[in-house]
Amino acid sequence: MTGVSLEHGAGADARIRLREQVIALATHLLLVIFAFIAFGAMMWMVLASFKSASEIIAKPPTFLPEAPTLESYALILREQAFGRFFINSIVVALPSVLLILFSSSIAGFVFAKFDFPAKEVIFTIILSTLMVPPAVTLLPLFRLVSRLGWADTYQALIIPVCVSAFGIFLLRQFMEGLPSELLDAGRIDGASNWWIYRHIVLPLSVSALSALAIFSFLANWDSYLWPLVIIYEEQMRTLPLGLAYLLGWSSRPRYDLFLTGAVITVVPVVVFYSFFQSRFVRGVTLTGLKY
Amino acid sequence: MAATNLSERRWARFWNRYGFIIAVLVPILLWFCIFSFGPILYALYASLTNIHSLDPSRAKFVGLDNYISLLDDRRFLASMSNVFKFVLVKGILNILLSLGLALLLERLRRGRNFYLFFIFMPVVISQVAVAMLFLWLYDPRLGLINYLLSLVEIPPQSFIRSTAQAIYSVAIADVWKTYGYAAVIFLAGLLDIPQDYYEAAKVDGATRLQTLWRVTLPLLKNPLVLVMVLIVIDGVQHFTMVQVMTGGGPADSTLMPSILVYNYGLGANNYRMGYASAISVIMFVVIMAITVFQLRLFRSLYD
Repeated sequence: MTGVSLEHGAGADARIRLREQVIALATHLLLVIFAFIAFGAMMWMVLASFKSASEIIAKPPTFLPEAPTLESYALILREQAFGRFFINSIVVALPSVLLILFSSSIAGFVFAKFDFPAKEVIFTIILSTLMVPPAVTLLPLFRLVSRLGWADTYQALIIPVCVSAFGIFLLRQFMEGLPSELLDAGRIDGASNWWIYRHIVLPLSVSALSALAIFSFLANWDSYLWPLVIIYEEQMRTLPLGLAYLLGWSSRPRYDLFLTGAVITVVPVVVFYSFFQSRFVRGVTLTGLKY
Repeated sequence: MAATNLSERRWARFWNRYGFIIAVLVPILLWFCIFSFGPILYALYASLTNIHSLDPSRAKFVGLDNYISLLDDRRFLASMSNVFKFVLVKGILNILLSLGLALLLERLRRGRNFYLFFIFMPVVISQVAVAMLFLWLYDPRLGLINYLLSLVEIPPQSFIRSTAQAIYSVAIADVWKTYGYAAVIFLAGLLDIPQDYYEAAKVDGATRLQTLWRVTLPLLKNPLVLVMVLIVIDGVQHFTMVQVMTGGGPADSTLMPSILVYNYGLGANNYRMGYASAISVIMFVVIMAITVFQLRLFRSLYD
């Protein structure tokens, strides 16, 4: 009798274990499908950039290039100034991100650790600009920047985006968590506010700063509407703009060029992402959940 | 002599106390006045005039005429109904997929980052590049999707070339790019839920579905509100992918308010800055109203 019930127990145990294994397997299977839909499409795009123009539109479609070639890269660099677009994107993105990091951190420091009249009013007014869609400021900014004579310049793409209300908010939130005793210790030693900012506050804020750096870089690299409005000269186009202009380059859709241009545009970001994946993902929860 | 000394000392004390704050905030506020508050107020003003985008000197005050004309503007009304469909499709698919994905990832004891690496990648790449990829995938004759459909004997579809399918096609492309972001937010929310809640539910004999509905979702309230607000704000303002993939066509079936602002304000033969500004102001009001409404709704549902 006892033996029977023991056997029964072992059988139930094995069944539960089997069930768990099946569920685990199904979980992984579904996740592989998710991953494939995301990554497979991109991989296919990368592989397509190494195919000839005729192979790209061949039927049935090939996955791996049959005769790998760099001809579409040669074509796009010859016919369109993609090398120049690449440099333009970097020349715009780096100063923009650095200025956002500097302005957000120093303003965040002031809002987090100082008291002054109308502090919350000023902060709320700054924050409220986050609700305003870019379409609202688009035309007035176009007028302003044109009047300044900045059309077709780098500063037109940098100065109007070099301060971020979101960045100020994020850094203030973060810095309020830093212990005030640390700053007071510096003050007693006679350190200036600038010194405290530079040597105490900044080093302690690296995690918030890196999240802000990642997201402002992505936003800047992705930026399309503003350059579309303020850049006319081909030589001043950034990558997204140069990529979009490929659409009008020929009367038929040239998917070989579209995809090669897209690969050139995303490669730096994907390389950057591959090295700092966990920071990207942590950045979402840091910037997102604390809204 | 004594008076100057006193005022000098006062000044020194004032500067000691507020000098750093002033030195930091004055340039920052100046930037906001020039590049943010100023343009916002200017747009409000422009929406009440017939101002020309390139030649503002002959602007005339027209009151609410622009807003009244918009009510009869078929393109504007089309853009409103398009953006409503876009946000609805984007919102539903995005939340279902990201929540499902987060629930799967939560079950894993290891390998989460491995899967996330691939799934999060579309979030970081440029929208114009994604638009190019989907232009190719959606091509009725040459695209991969119609080829795959032909393998299961579904007739070829026109996707972004058809007035009926275009808005859903662009919304799906957008979901492909963005749902990984929401998934990460949901996953963080799920991992924050203490295991005790699940054990308590198990002891009470709750099924998996009951646990999901009665325990997990209510505890995910904050991430859910956040994701929904982000989706709506993002969707109402959407410009880039739709502009690149369809330019608002065919026959205005994917026209978005942002595209209309761009076309009316800076399109050749238009340059109607006043009229275009009125559209942007309406977008602003809609975004604010929906955000406040969603926050209220969730508060009343769960508190």
